[in-house]
Amino acid sequence: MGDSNRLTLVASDGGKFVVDKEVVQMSVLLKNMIEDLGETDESIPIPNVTSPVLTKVIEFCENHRTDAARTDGPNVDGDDARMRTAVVSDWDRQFFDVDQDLMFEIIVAANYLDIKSLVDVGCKVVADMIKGKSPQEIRDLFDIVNDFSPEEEAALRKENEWANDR
Amino acid sequence: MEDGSSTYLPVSNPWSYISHEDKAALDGQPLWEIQRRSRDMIKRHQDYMIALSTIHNAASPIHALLPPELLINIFAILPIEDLRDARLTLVCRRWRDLLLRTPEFWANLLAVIRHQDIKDDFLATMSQRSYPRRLSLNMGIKLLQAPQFAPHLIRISSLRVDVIGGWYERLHELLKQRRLPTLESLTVDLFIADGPKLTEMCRQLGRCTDDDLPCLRHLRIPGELFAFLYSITQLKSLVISRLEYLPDFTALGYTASLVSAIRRCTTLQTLRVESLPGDGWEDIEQPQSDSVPVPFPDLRVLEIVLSHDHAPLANVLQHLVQHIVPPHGARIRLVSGRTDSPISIMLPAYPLTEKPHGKIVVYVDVTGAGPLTLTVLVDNRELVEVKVTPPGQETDIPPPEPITASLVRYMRFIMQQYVVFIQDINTLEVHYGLNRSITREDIRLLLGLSPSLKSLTLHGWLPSQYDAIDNGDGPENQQDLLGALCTTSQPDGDIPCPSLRELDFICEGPMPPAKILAARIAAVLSAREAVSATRLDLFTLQGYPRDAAAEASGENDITGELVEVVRPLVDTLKLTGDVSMEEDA
Repeated sequence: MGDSNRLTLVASDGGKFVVDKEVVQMSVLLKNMIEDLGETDESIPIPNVTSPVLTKVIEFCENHRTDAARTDGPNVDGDDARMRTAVVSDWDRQFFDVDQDLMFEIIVAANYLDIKSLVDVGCKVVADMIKGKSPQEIRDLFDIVNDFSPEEEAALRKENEWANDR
Repeated sequence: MEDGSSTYLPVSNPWSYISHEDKAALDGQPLWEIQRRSRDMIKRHQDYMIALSTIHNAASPIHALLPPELLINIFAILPIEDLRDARLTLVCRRWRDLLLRTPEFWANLLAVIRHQDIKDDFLATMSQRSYPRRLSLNMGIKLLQAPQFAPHLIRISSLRVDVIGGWYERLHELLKQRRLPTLESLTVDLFIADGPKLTEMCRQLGRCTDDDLPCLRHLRIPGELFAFLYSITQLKSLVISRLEYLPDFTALGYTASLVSAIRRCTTLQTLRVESLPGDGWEDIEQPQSDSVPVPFPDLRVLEIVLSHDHAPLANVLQHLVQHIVPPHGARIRLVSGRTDSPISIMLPAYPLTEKPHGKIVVYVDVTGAGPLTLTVLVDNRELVEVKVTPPGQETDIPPPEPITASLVRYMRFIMQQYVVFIQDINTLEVHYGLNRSITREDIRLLLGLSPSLKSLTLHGWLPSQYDAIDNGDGPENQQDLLGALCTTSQPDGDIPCPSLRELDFICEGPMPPAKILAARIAAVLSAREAVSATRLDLFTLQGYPRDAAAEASGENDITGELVEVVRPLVDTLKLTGDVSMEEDA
């Protein structure tokens, strides 16, 4: 029997991570798995998450381990209200100061592992990136091009003319 | 046709850009045929470009990695600053599709409309797209009344409306027609400059009741409207605001009607009254009046703001709590915007109905540089806080009257009001203003406030008359402030406040000469111990010698003197600041 307070997670690329159960339990998915498995030395595979992403997810959970209790309570205000009021600390911003691919992969992994606080913070960071920008600035930011036909674009601009003039 | 030098063309040699197949199809054709064929080609290439762009966008990390539900989540929490954010639908097809499936985004856009002159069809479009989300709006009555918006009124949970004069009738009509049945929070700011017109409007309109507004829990509304036009009971928070354009207007019977309307709201948790006059109470306080005190068991905060007729706050509070009885522990806050309020006008007269238990601290700040604050705390919970702005508060000039005398009068009043239940004040902190010396009379008065005072802290200057003190006068030296600690006017000769166990001097000015001060402190403490057979548990002296010459010569090195002569007389001696350096006995 190994340390009953720690367990091993296996990333999709085979990378192994030994972590405290307390940290891992920020993930509702893993928490339920641990409860189902009981005391075991078996590793838990995380098939949808690569090692670099899992490293970041564990880093977040380690940093926010004391917040874990807050995610357990009933969510009376709903996801939308909770996400809007999510507090993004300086540490969180620094945490998400990575390339876009990794940033989105972290959010997706958090969503898969059901780590609400990480999903909330990630979505808030992306929302703040979008905030106040023009359509062209957003296209440039996310490498998107305008895929409307000239006729469609004209119609949309007409629909939004009341907003453009303000 | 292959004239690459044409200055009318956006590229220098367009023929070199098109495919051989298209070139062959156009080459040698008459002009009208070139136009016809090229139009078809353009359309085909536009479709090609759109398809290619869509493929490109699908490969963008934000689209390729984030599932649609997460992007929708992001759109739902976007901080909307103004209506221009609606242009996000122009980014690309995918964003438009997802935004149209994000009602929160449109509900958030509606929330920033304010009073803009928006075309009705756009208002209708946004409203439809926001379905089925609850709406929180801040808009003019005109937009609210737009026919296209009518189906969506039922979704409004929070509404703030600025109405000018008679336009309020239209809002009232909506409420009375029960068009906003799920409204939880309503704020009405009324701008009206015609008092009689307001009275007439109130006379003509019927009252809104719980049946009209069954979900309403939070209301901010001018007192005149609430007094005469509302009869609701289930509020949790109520702010009675004032009419900005009619500061001196008081409708006939206003006070009685307002109090009567408030008395119905017994579930209130917070009540803020910005518009309550000092007169008109006689209507409801006559002996034959059936107005009995109504308990408000859930009330946590009662805040009264100085009303426009400059009625003394305490008088208003005194009247109000005869009709609306807050529970023990409710936070009572009196707020004055006036700059010339004498202390006496601020005296609170709120009678406690239950004896509070725990450590009681009266904290007084009389630094002449700002408003005087007196806070009564019970177990760190604020019981009452009063701010008084003395004249000339914006300068360092001390207040014109002896602040301590006023303070003591004030505190005596507080204690008379509270002492019935509190019994005594355990701990007293007094902060003096800049350049103000603590006086012997101050200490005498402060010690006289509470016979069971256990801790006294004085922040201020020690008086300079120490320079001239004759050490032969005994501990009760008539000039010395410390003498007040052992001189008593009582015939039995007991010392003042025998229960005193902690004495702290926080010296904010130059220190008196070390030897004299240390000897005086020692003499006084010895005298107290001799009379009462009790010692101080703690004596603290904190100071910063300012006299550079004395400091340099070591004359103000009070540490050694105090440790030598005072420490034997107290259980704990604390010296902090530049006085102590290393000493903490």
